[in-house]
Amino acid sequence: MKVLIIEDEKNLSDSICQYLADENFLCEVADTFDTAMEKISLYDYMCIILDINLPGGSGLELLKELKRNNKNDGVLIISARNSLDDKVYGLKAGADDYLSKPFYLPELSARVAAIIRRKSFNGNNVIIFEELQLNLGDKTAIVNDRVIDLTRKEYDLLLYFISNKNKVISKSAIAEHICGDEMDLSGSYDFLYSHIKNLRKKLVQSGCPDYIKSVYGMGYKLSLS
Amino acid sequence: MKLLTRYNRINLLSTIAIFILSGVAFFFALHLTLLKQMDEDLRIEQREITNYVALHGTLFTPVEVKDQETIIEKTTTPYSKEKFKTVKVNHDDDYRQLEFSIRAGGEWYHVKVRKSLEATEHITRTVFGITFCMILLMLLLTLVINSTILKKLWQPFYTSLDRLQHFKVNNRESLSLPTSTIDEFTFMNSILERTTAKAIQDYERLKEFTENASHELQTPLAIIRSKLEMMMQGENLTEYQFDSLQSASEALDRLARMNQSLLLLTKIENEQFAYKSTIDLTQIVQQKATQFNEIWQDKSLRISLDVQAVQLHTNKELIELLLNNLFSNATRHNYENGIIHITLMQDKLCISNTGHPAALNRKHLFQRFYNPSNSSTSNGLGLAVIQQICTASGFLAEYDFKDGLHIFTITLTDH
Repeated sequence: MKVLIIEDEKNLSDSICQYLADENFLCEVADTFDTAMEKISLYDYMCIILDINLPGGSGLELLKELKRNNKNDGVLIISARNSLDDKVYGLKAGADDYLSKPFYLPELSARVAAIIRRKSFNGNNVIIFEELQLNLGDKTAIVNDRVIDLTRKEYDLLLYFISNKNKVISKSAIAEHICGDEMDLSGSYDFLYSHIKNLRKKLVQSGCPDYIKSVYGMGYKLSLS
Repeated sequence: MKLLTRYNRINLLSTIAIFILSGVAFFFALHLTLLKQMDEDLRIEQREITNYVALHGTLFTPVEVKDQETIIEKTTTPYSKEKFKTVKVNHDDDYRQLEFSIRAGGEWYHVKVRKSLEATEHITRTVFGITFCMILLMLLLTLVINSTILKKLWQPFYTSLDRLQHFKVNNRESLSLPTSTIDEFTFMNSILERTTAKAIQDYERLKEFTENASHELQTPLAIIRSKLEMMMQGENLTEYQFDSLQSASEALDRLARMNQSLLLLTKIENEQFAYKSTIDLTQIVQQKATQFNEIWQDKSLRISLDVQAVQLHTNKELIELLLNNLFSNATRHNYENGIIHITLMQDKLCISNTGHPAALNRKHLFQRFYNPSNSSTSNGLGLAVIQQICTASGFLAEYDFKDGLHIFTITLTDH
C-alpha cells in the first residue's frame, strides 16, 4: 500500500514514514510543490498526506490537480492553519479528511487506514486481529462467531488500538481521539481508565487473551505478547 | 465640572470682587471730593464774615438762607483754630459745619457756619446707583458672551473629544477629526490622529504577530510530538526514560493547548467567526453536558442542569467553544464530590461550581495568563477566551462568589 507524504519538514515526514512503515505502508516523501506535482502525475497512491504550506506553492493546488485528472487517491490534509474555514475548503476541494498540526501519530495512522479502507472496500470490510473481527459496516466486534456487546466508545477504542497495533499510544492521544480536541481536559485522563478497563474485561470474558496492556503510566499498547 | 462652568464661575467671582472693590473706592473718592468742595464753600462764608468784621468792627445778624445756617455766640474761651465737622441737625439732616472764633468790638465770638449735605448725598447716591446698574449689565453681558461665544469657540474641542470617546482600537477605523481655524485645536487634532493611527497600526501588528507566531509554532510542535511518540515505541526503555518521556509529552500537550488558545483569541479578534445563524442553545448545552458527563462522573461531581428553551442568533462555533471553556473551567477547578450548577434562562447562562474556597480577583480574572492557583493544568487563557467570545458575540461575562460557589454569569442579550 503506497502512501505519499507531501511535507516540507523532513523531521516530520521522517517520523510519519517510520511510524506508518510498521503498519505495512510503503511511504514516499515529496518535500516541494514541484516534486509532489511530478509524483502525483506519475504514480497512484492509496493515500496522500498533504501539507498546505509548501515551498513553491499551495497544497490545495495539488489537490485541485488530482481532481482535474480524475485521480482517486485518498487525501488527508495536515495543516498548521487550524480553522474551520480551511477545513471546510479543503474537504470541499475533495480531500477525504483534515488533521491540524500538531497531531498525534496514532491519530494520523488511524485516519490514513480509514481513508484507505473507504477507498478500497467502500468501508464494508472486516478487520481481523487474531481471533478478533471488527465489522466496519455495522460497527460490531466478533470473537469466535459471538458478537461482543461494546458501547460506541469501546468499539472506537478497539478500532483505534487495532489500527495502531504494537504501538504505545499515549493517554492524551487516546483522550483526544475519544473526546475530540475541543474539550480542554488538561491532563485529567482518569476517565479513560474505566473505559479501557471495561473493554479489556469484555474482551477477556468473550475468550480473547488480554491484548491491551498498560505501559507504565504513560499509555496503552495492543499487542500479542 | 465642565471647563466652561469652571471658567464662568472664576470669571464671575473675580469680576464681582473687582467691581465691589472699585465700587467702594469710587464711593469714598466721590464722597471725599464733594466734602472738600463743601469745605471750600464754608471757607468762602468764613472769609465773608471776617471781611465784614474787619470793615464794620461788629458782627451782623445772620440771614436765613435755604440749606445754610450761621450761628453766632459770645464766648470767653476762643478756639485756637478753626474746625470742620459733619453734624446732625434736627436728628435727621446731615450738615457740614465750620467752627471758628472771631473778635469783634473787643468781644470774642464763636461762629458756626453750616451747609446741608443733602444735595451732596443725592449726587453720591445717583452716581453709585448708575455705576451699580452698569456693573450688573456688564456681568450679564459677560455671562452671555461666555455661554455663547466661548461655547462656539470650544466646539471643535468638544467634537474631537466626542469622536475620541467612540474610538476603538480594534475597529480598524481611523479617527477623523474636523478641521479647525484655531491653531491649538488643529495641532491637538493632528496629534490625536497621529497617535490613534499609530495605536491601530501597533494593534494590527501585534495581532498579526500573535497569529503568525502561533501558526509557525504548530509545525515544530508537530515535529516534537512525533519524535516523542516514536521514542515511546522503543523497546527496553528504562523507567527513568519513560518518566522523562511522559513529562516531556505532558509539557508539550500544555504548550500545544496554549498555542491553540492564543490562535483562537486572535481568530476571534480578527472576526473569523462572523457568520451567524439561529441556534438552539438548549440542545447545545445538553449535548455538551452529555459530552462532559463521563469526566464529571469520574470526578464524582454532582451536576444540576436546569435549562429553558432558548434560541439565539449567533455563531454556533463560538457558542460551542464558550460552553467548552465554561464547562472545562468549572470541572478543572473543582474537587472530588464537588458541585456544578448549570442554569440556562431566557437571557442568562449561569454556571456555578465549588472549588477554591475564596473569591477570585474580579479585576484580573479575565486577563490573559492570569493563573492565581499557579496550577500546571491551567494555562490562564480559558477565561480570556470566554471574555473574548462574549465581546465578539455581544454578551456580557460576569463573575461572582457566593456561598462557596464560583458563579459565572453570561448575559446573552445584545449589549
